[in-house]
Amino acid sequence: MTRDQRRGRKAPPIADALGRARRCASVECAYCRDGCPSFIIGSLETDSPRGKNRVLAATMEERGPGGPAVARAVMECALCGRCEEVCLADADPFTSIPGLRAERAASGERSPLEEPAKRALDDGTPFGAKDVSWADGLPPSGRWGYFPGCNVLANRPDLARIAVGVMRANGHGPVPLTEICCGSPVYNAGMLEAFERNAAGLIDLMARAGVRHVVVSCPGCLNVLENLFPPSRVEFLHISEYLSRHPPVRDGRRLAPRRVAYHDPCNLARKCGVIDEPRAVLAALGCEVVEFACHGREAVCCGGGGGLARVEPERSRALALRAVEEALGLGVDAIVTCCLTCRDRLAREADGRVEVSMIEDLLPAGGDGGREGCG
Amino acid sequence: MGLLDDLAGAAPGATVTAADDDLTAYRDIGGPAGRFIAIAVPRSAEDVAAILRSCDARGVPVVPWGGGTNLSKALSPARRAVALDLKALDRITPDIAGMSVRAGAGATPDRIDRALARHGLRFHHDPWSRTSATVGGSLALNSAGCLYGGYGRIGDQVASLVVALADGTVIDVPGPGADGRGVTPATFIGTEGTMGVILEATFRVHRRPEAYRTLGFGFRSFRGLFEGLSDLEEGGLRPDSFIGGTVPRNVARLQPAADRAMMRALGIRCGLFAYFEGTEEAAAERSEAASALLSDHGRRMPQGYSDAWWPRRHVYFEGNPGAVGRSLSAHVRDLVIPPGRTMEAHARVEELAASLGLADMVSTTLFTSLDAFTVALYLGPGERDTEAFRAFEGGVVDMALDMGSVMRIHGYGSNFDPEVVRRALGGRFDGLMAAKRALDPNWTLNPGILLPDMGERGEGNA
Repeated sequence: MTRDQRRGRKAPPIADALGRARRCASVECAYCRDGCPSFIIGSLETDSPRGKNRVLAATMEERGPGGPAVARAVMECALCGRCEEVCLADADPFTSIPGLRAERAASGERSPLEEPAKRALDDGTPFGAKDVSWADGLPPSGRWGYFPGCNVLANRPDLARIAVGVMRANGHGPVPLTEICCGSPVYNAGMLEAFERNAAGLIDLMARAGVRHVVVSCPGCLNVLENLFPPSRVEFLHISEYLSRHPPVRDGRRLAPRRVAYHDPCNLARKCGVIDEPRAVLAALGCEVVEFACHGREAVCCGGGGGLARVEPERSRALALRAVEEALGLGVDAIVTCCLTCRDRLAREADGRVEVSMIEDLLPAGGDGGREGCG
Repeated sequence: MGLLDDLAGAAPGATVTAADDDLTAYRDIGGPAGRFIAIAVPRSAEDVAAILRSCDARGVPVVPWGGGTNLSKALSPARRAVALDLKALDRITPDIAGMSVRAGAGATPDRIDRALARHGLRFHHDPWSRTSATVGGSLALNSAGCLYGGYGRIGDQVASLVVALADGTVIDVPGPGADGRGVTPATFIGTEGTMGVILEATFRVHRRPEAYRTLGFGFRSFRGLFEGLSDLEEGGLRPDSFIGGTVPRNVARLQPAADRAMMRALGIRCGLFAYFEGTEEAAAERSEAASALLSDHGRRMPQGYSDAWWPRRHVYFEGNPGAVGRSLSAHVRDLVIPPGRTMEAHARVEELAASLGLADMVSTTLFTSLDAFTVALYLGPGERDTEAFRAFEGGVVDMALDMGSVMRIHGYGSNFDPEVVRRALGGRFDGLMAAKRALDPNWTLNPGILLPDMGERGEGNA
């Protein structure tokens, strides 16, 4: 599926989602198992997209969306999109799973994903705190906007400071877009009507600010803005795309070469097609990029997607550990990624055995991407 | 102690479950409701041995489970059984200097190939299911793949095996432990998990080709395709892989737009995609020479089209995208027909299909070798439960046996009537029965698959 084809997709109604499950159940290809994070750790057919679809097809019509079998099938999914890449039956879990989660919620089933979703709607962030001190002095309107994402605002505001520094250095001093969450936790929880209301609020905010280009730090937010919001004239760019267009070279000098393994965030590589740009930035920084066995569109989820860490924390950790151990086997100096959720999960399992960095962490010091005084 | 507790206690590293949703997920792949009483996912050879020992002692049948693609229907046992899912045994250890790779039964061909690719080597089993099949399952069926014409079946690449017998004994084949049992890799390769559970295999591997070239051709008829391929064979230009066959009308209507446009532009109903590998120069030279020969029979497709098609070959081999999985399902019979009788087989299939009103739904294909003749019937929802379908299936089997064909690319499983299997196995049948009695006297492994079920009825059949 191309970037354009993905734009503006909506979770299908329940009948359609079930139809997809049935279609899958009639095909025995099992292409979807390879790289499925749930299956890698669980190893049972039931953990695979094919197995989930078989369970759904067999049980939902008879027993409805409640019950543990359906819960396992629709909740234990990282929504990483790996299976969609190869599905012969167009099962499309990225839209059908939230649709099924919505059906469960409507039938009164509680989910551990509800709480962060409600916080995102009520507080504008699922994390409960925001540091927006980096936004002081930024304009309230303009052509360029910057959307850091709630995780960055709560846990790594310095990344926002770096992104804004780079943008300002290139003459793109941005409008800070920090008041409303993109709605990713709301979508993951299957609260689809609330998701659409939230999206309308954010679209209105961007329209009032007059932004035409929005740089986004969080790949999860980029996926939502680009693929789940209604199509618009606003161009959404990941920070790595922006950096690849404005290479972070300081006075022509490159940093010392480092051997790094680049972890592709699912939301960025698979769902938004941003694969070459982070690698180009790393190359511009003098890094030698060593690839994981599965990378780019085939990358395997770190365990942080789709609320999996909340629903199945042990599986989520096992996935991150698996990636770390592969990187250790590659003999790299660091794992680099572009997603704070991925970074944190990988860093926790690395436990100091290998450095895990955000791509912004490698930029020349100065908070301007190496272009001090140019803006 | 109940079966589940027994298995969990004997194999503490394994996942053992009889949860409803797990049984459902396995049941719907493996066969009719109630076929499995438990699922076990071992994570070591010791786990496998312990599970087999427990089941054998209790008289509970065991179905070794690989990728679950179930091409042979070998996952549908005659009695209620424990599914022994081997996918977690997926360790891959390349031996670069020794030009070999050791792979656990649960490793997929794709993973093995990726592990070798870093070292300039290639795993020469490349089935359509390369990301979903496991080598354990592929060995049990001795399956072919896209490189069958050049490198043979997966069994042809085996140096040695590690196998767990029904009583839990683990043996190296050939090697220490196998002495006195009279077994060879052939005892376990292609016997559909009935003689032992393959735990690990060591495969010989080869260097990766430096380059490859693709060639796409269209033909007005199957005869044009066959004659073109025969010319290549005679001219010493047999492609290293190819797939060529007819596209039935019901599939053609559902094909991706680019494929439909290509068929219209060339005015064809039969296509060929060929693959040549080697050095850059050699691949190009052979490809162009082949093109010159094929031009007598058909029309060449644009290079960009065949280049784009080839990396997606697995999806096409599985079934035409756009058709399979949306509204049609493919029912495939892989036959081995002597090339001298290929046109006769094609004519008989067309005649049979026409007599049953299925002419628009049937394709015949040659796959990587002139003797690998595939008949596929593409059916819509509900069309399987018809007299015409059953008559067609029976007719193809009769034709194959009549022509001396051995249907073994994807095994026998429960696809066929036992008498058909017996006829197809011919002189091998008695030897297989003797081996089964020696290696699995309780008929624990895959009862009723490949060979008739002669086992005691244990609690698995309760």
